Amino acid sequence: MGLSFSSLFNVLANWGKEREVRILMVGLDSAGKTTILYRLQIGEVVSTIPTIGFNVETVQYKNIKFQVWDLGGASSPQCSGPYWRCYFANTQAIIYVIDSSDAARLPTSRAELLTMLAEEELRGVPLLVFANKQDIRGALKSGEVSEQLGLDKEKGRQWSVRGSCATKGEGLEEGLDWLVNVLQNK
Amino acid sequence: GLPIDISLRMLLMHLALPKETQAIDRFVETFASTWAERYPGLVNTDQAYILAFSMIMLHTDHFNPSNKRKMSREDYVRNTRRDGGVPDVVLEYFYDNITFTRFIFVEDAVDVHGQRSFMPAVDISPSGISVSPAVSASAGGGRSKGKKIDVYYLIAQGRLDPLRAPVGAWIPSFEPFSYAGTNEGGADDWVERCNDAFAGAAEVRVDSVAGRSTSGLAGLGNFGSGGGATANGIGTASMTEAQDGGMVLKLTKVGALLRRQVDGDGGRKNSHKWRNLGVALTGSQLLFFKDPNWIVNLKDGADAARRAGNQPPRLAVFRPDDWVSLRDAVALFDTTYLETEHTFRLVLPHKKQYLFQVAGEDEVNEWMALINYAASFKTAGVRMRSAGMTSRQLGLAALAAAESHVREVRSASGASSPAHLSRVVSLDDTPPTASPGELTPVESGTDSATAVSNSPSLPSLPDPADQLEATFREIKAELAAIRPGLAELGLGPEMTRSSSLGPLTYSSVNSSGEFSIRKGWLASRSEVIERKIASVEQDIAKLEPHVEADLRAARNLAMLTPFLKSTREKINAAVQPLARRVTQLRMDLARLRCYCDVLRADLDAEQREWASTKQTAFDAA
Repeated sequence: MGLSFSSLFNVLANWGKEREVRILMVGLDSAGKTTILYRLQIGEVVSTIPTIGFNVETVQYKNIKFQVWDLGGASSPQCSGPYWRCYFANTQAIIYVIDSSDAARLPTSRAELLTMLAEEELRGVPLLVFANKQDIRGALKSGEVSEQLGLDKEKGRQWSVRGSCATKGEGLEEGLDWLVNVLQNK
Repeated sequence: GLPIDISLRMLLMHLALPKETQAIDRFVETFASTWAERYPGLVNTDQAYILAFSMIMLHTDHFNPSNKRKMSREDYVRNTRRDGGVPDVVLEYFYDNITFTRFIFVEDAVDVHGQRSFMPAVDISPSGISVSPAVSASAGGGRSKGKKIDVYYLIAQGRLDPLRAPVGAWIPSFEPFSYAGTNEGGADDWVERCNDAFAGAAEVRVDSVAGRSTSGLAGLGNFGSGGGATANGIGTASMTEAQDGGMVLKLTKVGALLRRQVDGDGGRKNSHKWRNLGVALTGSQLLFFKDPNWIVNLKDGADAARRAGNQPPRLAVFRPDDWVSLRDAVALFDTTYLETEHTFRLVLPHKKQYLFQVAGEDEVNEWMALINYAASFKTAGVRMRSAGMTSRQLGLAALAAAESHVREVRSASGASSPAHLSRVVSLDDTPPTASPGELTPVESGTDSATAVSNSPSLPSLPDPADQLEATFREIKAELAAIRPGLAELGLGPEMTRSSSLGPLTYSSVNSSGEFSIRKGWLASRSEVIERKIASVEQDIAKLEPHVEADLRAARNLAMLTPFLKSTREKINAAVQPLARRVTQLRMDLARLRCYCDVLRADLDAEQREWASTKQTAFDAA
């Protein structure tokens, strides 16, 4: 099943010209980034041999193209972190994916997120957090995740924490809905 | 070895890179630590990790069709650059090579020789990329004219070498400069031979200052301002005032040599021509004469006069056409210089250099040894060990001292007689610059010895006759000290020796200070030399890390295999200033090591000589 962005169609139609935005999708391993990426992309399966390297997918809705970079939280962020910078400069949004069922690693995830948000190049860039794996019993609700992340202190940035279940495609539409609105108003 | 980008490319041909970032991260970590271990001294593990990671990022950025906004070379360099890290030219190379062609994964079949075939790769390679060996082989080993080279073919054939910039030709990986000439680790007694060569150099007497001042050469009239830059005249170090107001010039070595000026950047290209010149080495300068024969004949005459026991030749005018001071200079043998045979390089301050071509290998070594010996002392500001005292004179002094000592002991009489010394001095073939009758009183010499010990260099040393007398007296004192029974009878001062024939550490309790000249001269001279050595060693320690860093940069550049000619040209351009810097640093280091070794060897030789002189005296007594 694909995402129907019919609700956004009217809004996007007003944009006049085709627009491309670059989105970084970040999060610890097995948070569900890749699943989300392919959920978003279904319907446009490419037949070419994939390029060796990181996952980069284009998700197109009418006249807006999302280039989504699937970048994990590297195990040694002090080394690899700076390599994201080259992309930070031209990034319009961040999607941060959290495994809501893995409460033990939430502090780690939080630390990675805050490190990244501290980057000068990402100042003011909108942040969408997917509190993923909501289908798993005992998973933290989006409100709890939001609380633990402590994003209240983030000034000058629009952010939202949304519950999602990537395997079923739930919550993704709503999340992107929010993101597109934010981007359009920027 | 293979550069990181090639190693990574080759690894990815056979190992499928995972898609997940975390998995990529672990892959890169393992790759980086393996690479850094395999090629030590190039980059550390962190740098290798960063570079490999950045390459996969760049590759994704450049070749993934989903990514529309590509990084420029400038972006990549800016993003990957770190403090004290990899030079920009190397990062540009990585950008050029990674974006040249995409990584391919080869589902390979291994043939009977265990070699991987590239034929299957054609099927899976993205369109537009040729991996066919047949095509590239026909196009001249993969470097076809006007066409892209076939990287994978070159990798498979192991033919990446021709792509490299010829870094080694400009920056040899080995040390090309030797101050010891071609016989490094040669004869043990070179210090003694050098010292004797200078101490026993043939002399020429030059008459009038007027002759020099009317010579018309700027600076020649500038006598008395000792040494320094080449602009100085023939300084006092080269000539000593003779008693009649003329000057005595010592010619240690003279020859007709070919000389060529070299442009200071260490470049091999230069427009200067070889010139046949007469060259004379004095104690601190090289003098040049347009007429090669004149100075050679003069030296022959001086040698002949000396052998015959005659007065040295007298000259009304002595006029070199050019000269250089040996302060901060060094003669180096450059093993990478192959244009002419038997050639050494004289490296002067301010990036001035000369090449000298001499008659044979022995001549190379002799000229170099003597020049470096003189340069070391000139630069250190220390007089040579016994300028004016050859080992023969020392031996005579020892004998005279022994004789005097024995007689004094026997007669238990008063002061030592200078007559013995006069005898010693007059025994020498060469008339000393001061006559025996004019021996400076010991007391006045004490002042200079005191002054010496307070100053870093030795501005005023006792003249050779003083040295001789001081030597004479000290040997006597030693004799008195070592034979206590006799000392009670004699007049020698009480001296306590730290050890027999050991280091010259005495504590004189004689209030007159009569014996302090030689002791002071020796001790303070040794101290000054020790201080000089320590300071030179510090300079060496300061330079060494710079050379190391530059050589590491050179090794990194030498490894690169640029796919594009433009990249190679950029690397070549980057090598030039690096090569100039490395050459200069290496010459500076060779120079400092030369001074250090010469001074150290001279200190050792002095102690040996002093020990043997004393032994001679003791044996005689």
